[in-house]
Amino acid sequence: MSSDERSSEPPDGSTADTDTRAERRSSPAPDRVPSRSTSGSVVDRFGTRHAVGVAAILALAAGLFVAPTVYGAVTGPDGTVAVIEIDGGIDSATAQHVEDNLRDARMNDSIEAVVLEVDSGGGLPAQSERMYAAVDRTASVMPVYAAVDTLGASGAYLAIAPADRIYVAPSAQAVGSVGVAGAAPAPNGPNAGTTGPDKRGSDPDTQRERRQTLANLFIENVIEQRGDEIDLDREAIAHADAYLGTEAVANGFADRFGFVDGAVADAAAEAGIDDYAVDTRRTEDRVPGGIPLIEREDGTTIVVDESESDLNDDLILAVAPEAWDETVGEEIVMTSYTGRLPADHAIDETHADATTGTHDETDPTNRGEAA
Amino acid sequence: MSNVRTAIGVFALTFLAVVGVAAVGGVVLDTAPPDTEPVADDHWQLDDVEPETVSEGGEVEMESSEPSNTVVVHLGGGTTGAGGGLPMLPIGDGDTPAEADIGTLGGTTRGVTPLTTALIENGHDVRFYGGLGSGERLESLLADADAFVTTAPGALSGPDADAVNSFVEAGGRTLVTSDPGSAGTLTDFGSPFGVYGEAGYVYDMEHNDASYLSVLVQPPESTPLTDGVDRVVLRGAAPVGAADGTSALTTAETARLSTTREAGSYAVAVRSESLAVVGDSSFLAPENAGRADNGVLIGNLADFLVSGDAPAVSFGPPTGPGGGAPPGGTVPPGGPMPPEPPEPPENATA
Repeated sequence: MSSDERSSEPPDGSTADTDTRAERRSSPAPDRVPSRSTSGSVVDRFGTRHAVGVAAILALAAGLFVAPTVYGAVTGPDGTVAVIEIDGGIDSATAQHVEDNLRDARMNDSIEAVVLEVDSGGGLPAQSERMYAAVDRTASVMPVYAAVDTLGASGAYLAIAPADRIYVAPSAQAVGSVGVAGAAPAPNGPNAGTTGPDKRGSDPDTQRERRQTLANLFIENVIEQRGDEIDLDREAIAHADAYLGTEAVANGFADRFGFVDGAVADAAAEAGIDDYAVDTRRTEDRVPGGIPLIEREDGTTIVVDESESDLNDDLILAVAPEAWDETVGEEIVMTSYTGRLPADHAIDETHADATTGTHDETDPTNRGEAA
Repeated sequence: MSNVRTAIGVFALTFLAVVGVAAVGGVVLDTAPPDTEPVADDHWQLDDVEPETVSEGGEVEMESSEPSNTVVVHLGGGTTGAGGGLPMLPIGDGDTPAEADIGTLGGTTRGVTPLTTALIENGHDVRFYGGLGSGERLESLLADADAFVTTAPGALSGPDADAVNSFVEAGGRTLVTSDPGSAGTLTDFGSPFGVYGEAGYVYDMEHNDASYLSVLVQPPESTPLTDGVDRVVLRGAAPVGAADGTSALTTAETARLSTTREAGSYAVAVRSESLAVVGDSSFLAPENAGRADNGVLIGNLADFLVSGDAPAVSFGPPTGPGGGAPPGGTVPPGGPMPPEPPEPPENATA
């Protein structure tokens, strides 16, 4: 059939249009060559008017191609609120997670506000300070709100202290706890394996002073950031109590009751974006034990060492008592006093004297000391 | 062909215009990330956050020129006391720290060496009593002694406590240091002499030596015990009291009691005739003897122990370890006390 059509190709141009269409329907590509070779004459024939028509058609096609993007740009969110999680014991990984994401929030034009989703009882002081600095820096360029559910204490409270606003659940159980904890000061014995007497640890007086220096840094940071909001004086803050959510709002450790969604909405409003997207950035899930190698979605493989932890008893930690076991481990007991071990019945007596549930507060005897 | 050229020209111009607008618009509209404010670090300077501490370098000196006295020292169990040689954390099951076994660092006598050193330097005898089962009985030691020191009254067995009671009644000068957690046993021991211990501990958030527990205490008035003492550091003090209301050392008004959290001046050392009680034993430890005026206080206490006449004490026939009969009828008022356990405390020196 195509051979018939080719053979009947017209000598005159009156039926060229019809024939060309028929040719397009059925001819293979080589058949277009003669048609294209005649395009110049077609343009010449139809003139500028037709060129404009072709341009309009091309413009229409281009417009239709671009239109979805434009529509999306017009109807899409005006900005993004990043929700960054601070969860669990604070170590280097936590600090990196928060620092990286806050840096990204500052560099990314589309992110207009940040909400910190907090459930942590603290951890290492320096890592908490890293987050403190990152939050402070970010809060200088965009609204940064924090929302605490159960725990926002000790190192975690230090991290969120520079936030513009702190929301707490009314039933939050530990907000504040401005202080540090660690092993009680004790002298070291002679050790021929060290090159200096302080290599295994400084003398008790120095240990005591350094611990208090860390606590003072913490207290000063909180006063620097929230001194105007907190109703308590320095001494009361230094008591290092951890407050319920209701108490925290009353004494200024937190600003108002609320949860993440409310904080996101308020942060967006503060940033002036009515139509916003939410970008949630969670910490990586803790890897369950017994899985030494993990392959990530991007193909990289990470080695998981269960025993690896920055938190240990040799360090002074910014950890709330509510989170001590979870953060540091049950095998490490926080001893608060280096006094003599009383006789057995003296211990019983002290137990009878206890008036609160926290043993360390009422019985500062050293139960961990070996005879 | 001119139309083709025109079309190409229009294409090129339009293309360049679009790219040019994009480039210029990018330059004009693109902004660097907003400048962040630096994190304030003025309050991180060491001068601002370093805690206040007391002076160091004090020495223990005795003034008395008494002839040789014999002082019996009882230290309770095998612990080394405040500032002692045992690292407190972490101690797992069966994980005895090596430091505790090194030379003279550990051992029960370390916590009172400044006091015993001062006594011996001034020509007095010091004899340690290690509790029941340590050989010589306390009664026989006290019969030849001029003074008695215990840093753990709760670790005295019933018969031993009775012997010390008799010793004090006879005028034997006795120093008792009782740390927090020993209120009941101190009261049990001291009530015949009008001395008692209070539950809890005192702390001071303002007047302290780098820790709320390390309270600074002062004598309300100058007494022989506190002559020359301006302030003393106690690392963890229990409040004590005397029936006559006097006190040898008290905390500042900013101190608080752990059980009530009430601020006030709390007595942490009292004296009732031949019995002196301090609610803390840490000031006797080598690390703390040089802080503030601790050394002066230790010297005064040493003077107190060796001053005056030898006590005329006589102990009745031994009642045996299971007897527990209080000699001299010194049952403390305030109700019968539970019978003392006949066996030595578990934490006695092994």
